[in-house]
Amino acid sequence: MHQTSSIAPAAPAAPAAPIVAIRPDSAEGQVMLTVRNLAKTFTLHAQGGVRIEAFSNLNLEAHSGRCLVLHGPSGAGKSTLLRCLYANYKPCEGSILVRHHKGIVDMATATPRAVLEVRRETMGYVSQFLRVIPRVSTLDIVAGQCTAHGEDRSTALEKAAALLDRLNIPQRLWNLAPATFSGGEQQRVNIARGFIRHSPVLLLDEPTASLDAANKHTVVTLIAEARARGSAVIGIFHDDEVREAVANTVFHLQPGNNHAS
Amino acid sequence: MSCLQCNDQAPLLRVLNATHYYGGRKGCADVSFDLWPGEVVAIVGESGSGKSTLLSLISGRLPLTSGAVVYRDALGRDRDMASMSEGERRRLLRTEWGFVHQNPRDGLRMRVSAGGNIGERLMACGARRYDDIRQTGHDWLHRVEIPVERLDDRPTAYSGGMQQRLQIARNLVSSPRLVFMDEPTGGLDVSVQARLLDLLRHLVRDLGLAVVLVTHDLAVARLLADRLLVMRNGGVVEEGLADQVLDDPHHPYTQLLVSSILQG
Repeated sequence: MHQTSSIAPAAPAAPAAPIVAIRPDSAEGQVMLTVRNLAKTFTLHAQGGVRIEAFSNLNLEAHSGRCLVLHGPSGAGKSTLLRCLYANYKPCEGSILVRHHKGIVDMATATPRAVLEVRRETMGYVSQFLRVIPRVSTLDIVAGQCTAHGEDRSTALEKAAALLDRLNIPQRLWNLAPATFSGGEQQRVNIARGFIRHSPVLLLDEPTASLDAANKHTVVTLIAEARARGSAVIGIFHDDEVREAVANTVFHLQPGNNHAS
Repeated sequence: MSCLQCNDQAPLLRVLNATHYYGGRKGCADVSFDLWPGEVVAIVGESGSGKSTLLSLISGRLPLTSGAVVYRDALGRDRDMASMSEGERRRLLRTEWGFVHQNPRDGLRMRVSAGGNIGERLMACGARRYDDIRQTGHDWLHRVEIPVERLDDRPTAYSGGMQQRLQIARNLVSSPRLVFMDEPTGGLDVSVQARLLDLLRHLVRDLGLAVVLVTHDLAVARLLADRLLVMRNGGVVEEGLADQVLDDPHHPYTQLLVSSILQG
């Protein structure tokens, strides 16, 4: 049931997956993430065990300094794929190899502890919705990403303030918890939280949905800055204009027919 | 992978096939998991699923029918719970461990002042200077958001939410390494719950506590836990990363449990 069922004293944790699993770096930048033969099917036990296939035999690569856009009709499995990459969903088959520090972690099979470490240090995720934490101020939510990594609190607060300002969150809201904010404001707080630290791999699930033109433009700039810092960005963008502005590669998802172009 | 190089090389607690029968009736059977330093594991399931039995087993309050629970103490020694004397176990519960009960009356001394409740635990850990003890009590009341002028009041004069926060302060004042929590927000109003949860979340993170939390409230589990064990009929039916189990449950029972949450 659990990977370590021995009570022998202080056994070292299992070794990481071999590094050979990711192919050598190309001119496109370092390969940060490789997806191999990934399949995800949901089985709904409460509804007679009906099985819904999101995708199967899916292969892709993401490179540092580049933005890979997942594109396809609603229901094609874009968000499901992104959630699998973050290990929020558990794929049925295949591997998700992420370059983590000097090794490789397979997010499809890693222990919860290893997944949490990858999320903390390597992989960022910006969803459409802010999971509201009661009583924590906006500024602290954003700065908390830095202080949790040992950064100095006053520097973190300055960075958070600068980012909230760029995303047009009025200063009078900074010391309030975002529970009562509008959807668009919450989304921008979420973006600030996702972008305040450098993530070697950055997953974006429609970060620009319901934003106005000025804020969309800011997000496009933030993505460009993240790429310049070497992030491998993987995102879903429904907005054609945003997609064209940020994409280096577009990965088309169609039910049953998934390939890169 | 850098987690192999992190300073915490061994699990704090190892539970191997933990089993307890109440006479002929199964309380919980064959539960195994490791708890690492700084990790929060939530045991979820409905009433009667065996989660409180499991908590009692691993905190040594109930004997194992079979299986083993091994705790790695502050000196790095593996301590087999079954062979530990009652005195040793009580000493651990006063020093390296904490136990937060659902009902604060079970974890507090109701006839002793709030300051006394905190100080008692400090003295069990060897503190002797009155001024230091009082100052620490003062600091902890502040930390759990109880007005410090209430230091000399007895818990009987406190509200339920304050009593629960005092119980938490009493447990955490000795900087325990491992804290057991049994439905810590169970008996509280929703508004008081949110405040307590937020406080717990911060304390757990700031102190790097390892926690085994029993709750039937999946929202509590999502907010506090790194990892979930889903129990039913005395066994674990599904386990894994907390958000993964809640967002992509695989077992029919977990799917039922998750889909039964009322959408707020």
